[in-house]
Amino acid sequence: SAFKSLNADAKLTAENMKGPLRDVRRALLEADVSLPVVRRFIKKVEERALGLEVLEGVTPQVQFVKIVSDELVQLMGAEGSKDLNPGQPQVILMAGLQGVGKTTACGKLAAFLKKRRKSVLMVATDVYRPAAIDQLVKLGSKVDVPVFELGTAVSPVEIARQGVAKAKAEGIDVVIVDTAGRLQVDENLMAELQNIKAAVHPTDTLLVVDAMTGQEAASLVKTFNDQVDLSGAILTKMDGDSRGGAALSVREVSGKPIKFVGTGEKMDALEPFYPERMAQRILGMGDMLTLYEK
Amino acid sequence: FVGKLALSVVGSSALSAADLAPALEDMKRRLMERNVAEEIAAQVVDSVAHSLEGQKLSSFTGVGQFVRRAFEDSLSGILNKRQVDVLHDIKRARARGKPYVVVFCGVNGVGKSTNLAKIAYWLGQHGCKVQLAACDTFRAGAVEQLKTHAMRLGVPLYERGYEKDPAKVAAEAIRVAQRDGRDVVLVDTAGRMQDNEPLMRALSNLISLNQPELVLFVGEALVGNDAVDQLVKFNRSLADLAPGAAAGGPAKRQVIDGIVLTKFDTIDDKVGAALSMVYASGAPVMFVGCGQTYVDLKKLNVRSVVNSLLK
Ligand SMILES: Nc1nc2c(ncn2[C@@H]2O[C@H](COP(=O)(O)OP(=O)(O)OP(=O)(O)O)[C@@H](O)[C@H]2O)c(=O)[nH]1
Ligand SMILES: Nc1nc2c(ncn2[C@@H]2O[C@H](COP(=O)(O)OP(=O)(O)OP(=O)(O)O)[C@@H](O)[C@H]2O)c(=O)[nH]1
Ligand SMILES: [Mg+2]
Ligand SMILES: [Mg+2]
Repeated sequence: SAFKSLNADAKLTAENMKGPLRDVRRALLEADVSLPVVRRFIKKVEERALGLEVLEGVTPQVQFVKIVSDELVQLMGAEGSKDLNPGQPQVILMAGLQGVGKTTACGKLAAFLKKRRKSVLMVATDVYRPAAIDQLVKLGSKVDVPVFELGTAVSPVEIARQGVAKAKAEGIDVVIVDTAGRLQVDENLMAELQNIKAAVHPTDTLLVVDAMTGQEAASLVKTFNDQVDLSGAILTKMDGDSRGGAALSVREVSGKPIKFVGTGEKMDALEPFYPERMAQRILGMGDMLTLYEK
Repeated sequence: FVGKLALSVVGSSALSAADLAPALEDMKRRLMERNVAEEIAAQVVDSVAHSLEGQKLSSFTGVGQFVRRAFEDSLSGILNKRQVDVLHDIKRARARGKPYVVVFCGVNGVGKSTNLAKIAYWLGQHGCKVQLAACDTFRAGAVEQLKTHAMRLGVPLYERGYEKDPAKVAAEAIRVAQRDGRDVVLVDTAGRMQDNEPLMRALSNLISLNQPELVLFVGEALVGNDAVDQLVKFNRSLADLAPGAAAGGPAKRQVIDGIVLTKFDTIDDKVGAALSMVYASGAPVMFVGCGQTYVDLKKLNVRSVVNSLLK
């Protein structure tokens, strides 16, 4: 891949890093990392690497790769996966643009939590999309988790409030609130989301982001985070070919971690998010790290 | 960037590659900022560079205009593809007494079903008798979603519930439409990732069995570099995976005839996916979805897209 041009110099210098930095930049752009995020990232790597004495027995190439991948992992929230926030009940509010995979993620998360022996209730507040409630109800029966719904004539805020109240009354461990897809610039729907949040005090507010998202990712993450103060994100459709650079934008722009990734349409296709794996995928550099570990 | 270019060509009569490099690099960045895929941006810039090299500038002050116009021409050329005249073709099919069949395909969640419904509405406005076919027999709620649209639009829907073979459901739907004298059948299909071979094979099968007049690829304007891969692989699968394709194949080689570009309202000025998709497939953008209601359907405004790309 990208890091051929460093030779056996003893030091990383502005001069000998130029080529490799350009390669990293291209890799990030091909992976759909937003341009401003790329710019800041390259600057950071350059600063960290400049003048760093290359370790005995390690080529500058390997040293450079190590810095890049460390910095990427750092940017995505340090090594290891992040769990949901605790609470009794845990209330998880899902948010995001249209069609990203929120409703599907509700079902998957419900299945995931059931495996942890938690009792779960899903709440259907999407009163806009045709058959959105049917979809959640069907997924609920697939994973054997009840769904609270009041049809499409009641306001989403009210449905959410009643759903969470019911869960509390029945001593249920986790409530997952599905919401309609919305545009970050749609003032009415963003206000509605704020009102839902105020009504149910979620322990987690998760932005669901499609891994195929291009340059719009940074601005949508920023707006959602500014308006509803996210606690994290779910990155969906990772079973596709896209490198998922949106992951980098999520963390860099919002400071919030990605907690799960979706890897398919089935209800068991949900995994914890590992920044170190994502870093490799974004750079397309599986071999590079094994090279370093030797 | 005009400034940079102007400086570098002072005193020279013809533009050299070195003169153009910084300006072109700038242009590439600009395209990528507008969400054109990296690979496509690079190819477009290369071809413009090629056309500019060695060209003479008549006057010093004309440089900016000169380069910009070259990009305008190139981008408009890419985006202005020959369009299928759907309404005209439907009329001809009607005269033959056969329904005109349109298949919608694409990756998950991009807006296939919603924009199918918008197009049904648009066709109805133009006096066409439409029928929908619910051939997403997989995703939870997909059939009910289409049922709701059919009811709201007042058009018939053919559905057989879930877990049926979509290719067969489509064939039955077309038969029913012909019997009932419908002009058009709009076939909804399940979303699928372009590298999921079994699902791509199933789509090829549906298409080669039913020989639709029009195959529309639905892609969302939000998509980044994956746009190229999606179009290339959908096209290739339709051509290669169809039963009999290897043996030369009986019927015409199926490819994507047109693009439905959706969620155009979600991307502000980052309109680059339009360019990536057309460039990667050679197919025209036939409809642009710009919202969630039936009237949120437009034609591509090439000039405005080009302006956004070069702004
Ligand atoms: N391949 C793949 N498909 C997914 C994944 N997650 C969701 N999908 C599919 O993406 C499509 C959209 O998913 P939904 O859950 O309906 O998305 P949503 O965000 O609820 O959509 P709206 O409610 O309309 O905003 C469906 O076809 C899902 O099956 C994933 O991880 N991989
Ligand atoms: N903002 C906006 N949303 C859209 C547009 N087109 C579709 N949507 C929304 O995107 C979401 C997904 O749309 P669908 O039509 O269900 O997408 P699909 O491709 O059929 O999805 P699957 O069948 O699950 O693969 C829904 O919430 C739609 O309302 C559009 O042009 N603009
Ligand atoms: Mg939904
Ligand atoms: Mg659909």
